[in-house]
Amino acid sequence: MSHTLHRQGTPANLDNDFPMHALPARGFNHEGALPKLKQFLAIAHRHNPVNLGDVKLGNKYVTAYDELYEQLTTSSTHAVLADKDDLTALLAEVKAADLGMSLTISGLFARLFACCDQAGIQPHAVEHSLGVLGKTEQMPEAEIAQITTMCGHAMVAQGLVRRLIGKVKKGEMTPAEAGIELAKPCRCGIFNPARAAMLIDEYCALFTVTVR
Amino acid sequence: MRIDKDKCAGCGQCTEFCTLGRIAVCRRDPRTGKLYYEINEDECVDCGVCLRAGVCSAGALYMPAYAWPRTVRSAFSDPTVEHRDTKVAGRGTEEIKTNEITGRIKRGFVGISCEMGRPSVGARFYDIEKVAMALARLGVEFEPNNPCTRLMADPQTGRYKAEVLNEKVLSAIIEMIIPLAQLPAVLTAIRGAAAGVDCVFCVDLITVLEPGNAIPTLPLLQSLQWPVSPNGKMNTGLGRPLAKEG
Repeated sequence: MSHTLHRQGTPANLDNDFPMHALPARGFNHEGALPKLKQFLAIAHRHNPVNLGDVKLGNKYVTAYDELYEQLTTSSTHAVLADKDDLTALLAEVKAADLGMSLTISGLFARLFACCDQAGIQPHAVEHSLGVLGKTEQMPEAEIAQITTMCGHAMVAQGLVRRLIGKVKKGEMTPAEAGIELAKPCRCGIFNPARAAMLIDEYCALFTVTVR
Repeated sequence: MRIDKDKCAGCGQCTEFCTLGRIAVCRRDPRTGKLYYEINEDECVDCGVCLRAGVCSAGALYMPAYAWPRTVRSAFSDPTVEHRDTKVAGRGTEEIKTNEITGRIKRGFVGISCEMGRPSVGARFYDIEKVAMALARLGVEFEPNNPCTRLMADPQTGRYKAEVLNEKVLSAIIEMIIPLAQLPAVLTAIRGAAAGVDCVFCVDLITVLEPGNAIPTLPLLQSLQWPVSPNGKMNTGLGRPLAKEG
């Protein structure tokens, strides 16, 4: 599935959000891929990730990094960075390591092209989101969707977002703590808790936000 | 997913983890006066998030051992469950993710997906069928390794197996590769089909880059006045062995 394609937001609040996944292709380079995926995870771990994960093991907020590394499966290995300089450095290191694993990153296209260029990488293909069609009135409001769409499998529930906004507004929790709570259900580890915290902090300053 | 009403303490904490919103209702046992929650099982997609959250201290939540065709719900809604046919966890294929290796989508072609039910709404297969049939009328070939295609009774018409039509899933992906020249007709058909469904769906477009990072689909999208998000996904081309372009 397109996983990290449909993150909703503004160019400003999407500018520090770089989810990525390294994975092998079945029938091509799947055999012997595990050590390379582990190497990718280790590289990502060195570049200040705000999340890491493997769908079968969970993300770094439910499974410690050391356990993720030791028990990593031969599937898609995920990480999220929140800084363009970290992304550029990671891309350069992955290229130098010559892992041979496909690496897909998401973000603002202008930013991604610039980071690839600085890292000496020629991208192969792009995937555009052409938006949401149909009965869009059934969707949660835009503020909530900016957070829930950070989990491509839709494991982050709108009700949980609303409850945690309420708890932050009442001073029972910090935005950073709420971001981490929201990251936990997203098994793969592509949810960006730092961006969620920033969004919740922004919403809490507004009386107009609906907390149903 | 079900809640054992005898065990349920009526706290409602699990309902906040529902990926589709509020599909559980609070009830009162007329004999005992005890409050409990009941899941609308017809609306539930069996994603398992409420159970995995571990918030039910009473142990009232449980996933029954469902039989076919109900089992398609968890296969398309819970990323930890693998499809029996493809052995791939999730809802679609590797789409753009390994394209530099597989060469699945080549220059002059584009990959199109309709992610039915996404985001946060879910979809029944009778709505998924409406979009698939509209596309099939244009002669598109659906991705054979996609689990959604495997549920079609006839991929030539986009008709699904009758027994799955009322099943509801968090998302299922209709996926195809078409010549670039066919893109305007396919997008027009997608827009038309969207008016007839009682759900939402996201549309994806995969394009191999031309020299200088030129994106050949952008002029077509502009001519169709189709809005394009400034963010999206990129295959960095670091996989090996590289596919040979035909």
